[in-house]
Amino acid sequence: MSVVSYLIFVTSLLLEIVVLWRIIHEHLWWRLIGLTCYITYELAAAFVLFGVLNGAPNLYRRLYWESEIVSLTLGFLVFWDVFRHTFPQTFKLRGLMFNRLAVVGLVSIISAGSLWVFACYRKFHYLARALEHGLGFLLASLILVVLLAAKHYQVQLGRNVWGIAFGLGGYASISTVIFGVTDLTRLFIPYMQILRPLAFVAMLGLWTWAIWIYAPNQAVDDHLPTPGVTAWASWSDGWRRALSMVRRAIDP
Amino acid sequence: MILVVFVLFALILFFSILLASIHTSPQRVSQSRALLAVNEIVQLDSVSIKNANRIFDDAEYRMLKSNPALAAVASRLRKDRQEIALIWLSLLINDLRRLSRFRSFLVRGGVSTEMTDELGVFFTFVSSVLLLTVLKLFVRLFGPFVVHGIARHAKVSIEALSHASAKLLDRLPYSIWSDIAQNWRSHGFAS
Repeated sequence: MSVVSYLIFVTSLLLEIVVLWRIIHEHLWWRLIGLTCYITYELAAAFVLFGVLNGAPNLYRRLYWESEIVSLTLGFLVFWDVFRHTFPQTFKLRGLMFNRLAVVGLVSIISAGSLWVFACYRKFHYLARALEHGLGFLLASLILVVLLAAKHYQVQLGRNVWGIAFGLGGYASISTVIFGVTDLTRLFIPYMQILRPLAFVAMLGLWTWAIWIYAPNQAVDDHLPTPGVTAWASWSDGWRRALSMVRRAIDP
Repeated sequence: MILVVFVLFALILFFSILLASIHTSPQRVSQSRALLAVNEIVQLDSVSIKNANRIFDDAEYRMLKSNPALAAVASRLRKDRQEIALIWLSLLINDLRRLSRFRSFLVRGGVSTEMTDELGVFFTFVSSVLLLTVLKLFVRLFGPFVVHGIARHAKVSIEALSHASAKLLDRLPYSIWSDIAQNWRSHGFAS
């Protein structure tokens, strides 16, 4: 490991610890259970991989790719955190949003991701690496769909959810680009080995900022007046005025 | 070839996420709503006085003073303006105190905040109260028109503290804002 790689490794470890500390400090672990699982896993995996690299380097490559697959899978839990906080159960369009995402989005995204996995596997014959591409692409696409939907329905994202979504989406997409470029040419591999961990550190930095304080999304539905309540208020107002007129007529 | 296409796809994906994140970033969109709520809950008296800058404007005074026959009227105008200016500055100080109390009320209620924010608000509060007290002293000693330039900026501190309180209020769900208003009034903080 070069000095730069060590620096990035130590920075990411420190940031993971800080993120975990903020999650516990702000009592966010149960609100952001996916993020908590992801960070805990990343922290544990970093220690294990570091040990393996120094103790049994021949196992490192296989373990690295397998841990990446687990990490990306846990990334979907973080996505679920983003989704359920952006479109909570009180949000009337949640069902519609879920169906659209499932039917239109997921089918096309999974198809494209699978095609990429297939193309990559055909070239390298290494499933873990091929899966990494597909899962990263899928994760980034899902985050993009949620962000676009939030913009479309004018859901105002709080600092917590926005930071997590932007961090994860940015990291997953840039990782996909980096892996894609290394598939095409081996020229950039030394740079990519630095760029991807740097993107991870940037994501952790953004997450640290995002969850430093508890700043949830604005409630989306409760500020809309319920039609019944409005009608009742209008009727009550009319009735009050009628009574007042009657009183004035009786006792001018 | 297909790998090149996917790399392009991934690049587009990255820039789309960047753009979508910029468009959905938690800016001051709801701040205006929170700001209105703060003004309503805290009931700022100084805000209700429109065109407060005119209190310190000496144009009318100079016009009256230029005519020797109206010197007494000019003097009366100056005295009235002095009293109004002192009342307005007192209202500003009261509003600052009320806003500061409201902010502490929110923090005490469990709204999380940052140390830098707290220090910034404390500094704004202390410096503003000091400035307004000095302004009051100047108005009392030298009349309302000498502080014309500075008094124009007196409301800035109120706006800064209102924004700081609105930022905190915005962190809470909209549905509980009415409860907060009720608690604020029922505990007699509003007075």
